[in-house]
Amino acid sequence: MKQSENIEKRIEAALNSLDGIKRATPGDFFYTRVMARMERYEATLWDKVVSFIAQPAVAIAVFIAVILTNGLVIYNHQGEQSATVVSDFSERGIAEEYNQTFVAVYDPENMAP
Amino acid sequence: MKYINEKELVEKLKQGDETAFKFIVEEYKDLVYNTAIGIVQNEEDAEDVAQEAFVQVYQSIHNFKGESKLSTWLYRITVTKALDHERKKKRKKRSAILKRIFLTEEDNEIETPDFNHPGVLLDQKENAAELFRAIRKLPENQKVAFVLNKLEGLSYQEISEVMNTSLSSVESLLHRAKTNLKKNLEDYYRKNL
Repeated sequence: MKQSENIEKRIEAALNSLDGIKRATPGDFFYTRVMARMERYEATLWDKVVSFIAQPAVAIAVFIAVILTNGLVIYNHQGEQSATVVSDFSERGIAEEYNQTFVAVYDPENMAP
Repeated sequence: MKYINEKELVEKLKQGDETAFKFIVEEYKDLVYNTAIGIVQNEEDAEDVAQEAFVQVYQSIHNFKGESKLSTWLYRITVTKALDHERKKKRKKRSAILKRIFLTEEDNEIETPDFNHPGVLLDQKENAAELFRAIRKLPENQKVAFVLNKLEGLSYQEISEVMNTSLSSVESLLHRAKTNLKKNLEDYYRKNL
């Protein structure tokens, strides 16, 4: 009985212990430390970017991506060129094979008398 | 340097004015630090959280629309940073405990040292340390509401603005916080008296 009364008192005392509490304050030169942290933060941000790029897996992946892109561009370019050649060749070939001459209406030599 | 109103101060901050930033740090450092220390219960960690909060202010001032007071916004940032800090610390602690599987939950509690808030009156140090031990065990929302109310002296209305919740929710949170604190303290005294 006495113990539970004692406990009740201690609980009340603990709950009221923050009455009249003053604000905690940071140490001197807090602003300087904030500015130093900001500089550190900016530096670490760049460090993170650089270290990410420098990772072997990332570097190899980027290298492969560049090579593949180059290969793809060269392949596409070559494909375009050969298609043009083929089409040019086929038109001329057909014309020669069937001995087709295109007569223009204004050609005086081939005009009927 | 004094600013006529918050709007002017915020505008200067948005323009990247260093004097305005220095002003806001000097003006609000105690608010931020005291809130942080109430949640993390460690002076070094509170310093870390306070610095992080001001870095966040500098980086995200463009997102501040002026719909709430600057102090309310600062409380929100501080509370978020402090809770994040606590979660990280708990995660680290859990992984450390997993490594040392022989340690029981009770041993873990003993490891955390008592916290003495520097602003507590001298004759209340022991009682306050016991109260802070109980506060540590509260759920996050109850802890935040209690700290803002008791350490920062915010009204229920102000707490509801900081926590972005209704007035009745704050009343309920504080009621439950006090009930849980009583229970935790009772358990502690039954074992230790």
